[in-house]
Amino acid sequence: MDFTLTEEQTLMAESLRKAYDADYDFESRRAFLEDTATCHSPAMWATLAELGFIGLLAPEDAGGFAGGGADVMAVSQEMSSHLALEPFLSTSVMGMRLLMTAASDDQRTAIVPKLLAAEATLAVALYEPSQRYDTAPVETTAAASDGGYRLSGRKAVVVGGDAAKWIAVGAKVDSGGTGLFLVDTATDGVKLTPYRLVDGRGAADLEMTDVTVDADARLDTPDADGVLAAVEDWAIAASLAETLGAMEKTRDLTLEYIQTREQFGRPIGSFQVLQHAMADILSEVEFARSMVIWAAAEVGNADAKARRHAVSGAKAYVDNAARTVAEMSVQMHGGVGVTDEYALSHYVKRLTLGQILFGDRDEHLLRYAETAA
Amino acid sequence: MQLTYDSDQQAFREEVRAFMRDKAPADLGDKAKTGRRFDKADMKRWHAILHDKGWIAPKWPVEHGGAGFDPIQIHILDEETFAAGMPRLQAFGLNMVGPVIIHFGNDTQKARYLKTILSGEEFWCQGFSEPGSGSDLASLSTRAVRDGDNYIVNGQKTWTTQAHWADWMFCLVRTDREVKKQEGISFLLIDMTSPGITVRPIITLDGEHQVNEVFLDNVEVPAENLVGVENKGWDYAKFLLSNERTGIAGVGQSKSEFARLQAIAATEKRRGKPLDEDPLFKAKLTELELKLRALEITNLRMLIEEMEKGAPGPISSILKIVGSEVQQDIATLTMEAVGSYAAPYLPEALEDSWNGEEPGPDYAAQATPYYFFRRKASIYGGSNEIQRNIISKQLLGL
Repeated sequence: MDFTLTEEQTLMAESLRKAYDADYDFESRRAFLEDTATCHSPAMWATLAELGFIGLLAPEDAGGFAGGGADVMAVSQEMSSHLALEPFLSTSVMGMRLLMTAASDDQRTAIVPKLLAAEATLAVALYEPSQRYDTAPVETTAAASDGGYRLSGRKAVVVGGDAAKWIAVGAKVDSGGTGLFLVDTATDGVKLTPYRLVDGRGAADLEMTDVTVDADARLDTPDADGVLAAVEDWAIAASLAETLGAMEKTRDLTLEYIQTREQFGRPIGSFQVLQHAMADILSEVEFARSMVIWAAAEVGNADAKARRHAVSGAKAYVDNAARTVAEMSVQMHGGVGVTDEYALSHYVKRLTLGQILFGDRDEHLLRYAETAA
Repeated sequence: MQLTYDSDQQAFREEVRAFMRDKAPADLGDKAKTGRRFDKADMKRWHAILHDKGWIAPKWPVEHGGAGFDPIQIHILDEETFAAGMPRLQAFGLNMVGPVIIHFGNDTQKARYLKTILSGEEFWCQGFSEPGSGSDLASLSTRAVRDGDNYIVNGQKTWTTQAHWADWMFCLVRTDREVKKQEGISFLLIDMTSPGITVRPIITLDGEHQVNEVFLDNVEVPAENLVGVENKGWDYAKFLLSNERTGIAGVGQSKSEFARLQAIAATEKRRGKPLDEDPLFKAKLTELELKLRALEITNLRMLIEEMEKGAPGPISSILKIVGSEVQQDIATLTMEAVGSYAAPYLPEALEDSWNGEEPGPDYAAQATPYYFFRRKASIYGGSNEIQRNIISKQLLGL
């Protein structure tokens, strides 16, 4: 039994911290936020490429790190504590995990080097507008055509889809079953509607009208639905670590604030009602950490039911903790807590996004119950 | 990062399970299934079985007759004990005064007391709380005045659990009133048969007699019954309380009580369907299961930390808070699950002496008394408000 990061993981987190501390203070981040072309810092994304983080989950022979759930946790937690906007979640976790489980060697060779070099990004479309948090495609279809496929349909809230060169989509294939396709977003018939998410990261809605792709755009997997579900669980594990990183910073900012803010002639942290609230925040963070560790330890489990049980259980639990910590911290900050110029509000936005993305609390309570042993 | 027990730990769990299958008395297990109360004889019986096995004091060092188990082994033993429905043994001797005597007692005291704590021949109670000193324990006013070879003790203790069963009481007494309140307290071992001691029951709202008032009227206590140094008793009390933190989360017991709740929820019906298929009840049950899971993992994290650092830190205060909440939530939901048969109030039906006919299913009689009983969990051992004070001071620096 082991609940700590390895030395290697600690070093990874440290190198990330240095990179972000050097070039990514709160003010410069505001400039990246306003950059409508990328929604993030291309320079920082290139730095992450140099440091090897984009290929965290790629195998070593593909130039990657062959990492697992705990590695994703270490990186996502650290990046989130800097409010990082770079597309690690969409490309390095979701995209890379999809390629590693479902792509042929040729498909990997064509795409992975470009991702690792930070020349292009890959996003995965999990949901459709009418299907809420169900990853099985319903309205997106793929019809065989001229040795390739013709794709039509819509995908909702594709994280990282705003700037991705490729988006992986699931579609109902006319010959039966679900297929997974890599769609180049420059193809005719692809319409992207980009927007920012609550925390400033980019995403898009995707509409496909008779988009023609070659046969080799189809990923090589007999279980496309299972792959989508697994990618979603990896996205959740990463998102939970982001939530943990943001919760820790929220806790620290709030503690610092109540120690310095004076009212009635003394620091407000000397009032017992706020001391007890602060104790509760500390407790929420520690119990949430336990569940994030659980998800990180189980997300790589080959048994899909056990994997989902842990990941969904953690998500349902941590979402609640994140909401509690965010709302209490805003309250304890008073007016400062609702000010855009102060960092707290940005952590609160990230904590809020985490509760919405990849299935809300009720969805995961259901999944947790449905996957009981 | 991995959450599974290693092969040695799994083998140990199998060994414990085999022991439980072999030695755990079936009638005690049956009592646990329906929430009947364990009496002193039950506890003595189970105590003797564990003592024969050498597992009665898992945490004590081997040279003092303990098993010398590490925190994870103790946790496994705890889980399997409750899974088998065996009673939680009195903590006062084994987990509280025993370690204090081992660390701070003299050789005569070790020889006199440790053996009978291990064998279960002598029961202990804890003389800490007083009518005027609850959360502010250091303000206690029971006085001990040195008179030749004796201390003369006068005062009153209260909420003294199982004082009516106890042969001995370890007691905090004031020996100096002129100094800071924490620096004038001593730690005495008092024979409960001493003249001048009166034990008066306090019946709690669950109908049970567990706690008592203890009056001390000119009680003569031999000076050799002082543990350690006079006026250093507060240090020993703090040691005792920090020692008590191991296992404070109550994971093993809550897991077995949650399993009982699940069984009741699979039996009770609403609109023709079992409660565990009722969406409203199911949601509450599932959320509670997750809270218990988070408690279990957090507890394991702290146990590993304790193994590495030697002692549980103040972070264990969060285990006390959430552990007691989980215990209370399980009791609350169990009462809800039982439905209208939680309404008849028959606490006597939980005693061995009861021969009457119970209304409702066999698990119903315990539900509401147990809900009441569990209200104590957030009060004793340092109320949850005191735990938040500890977190705020020691972990947050506020």
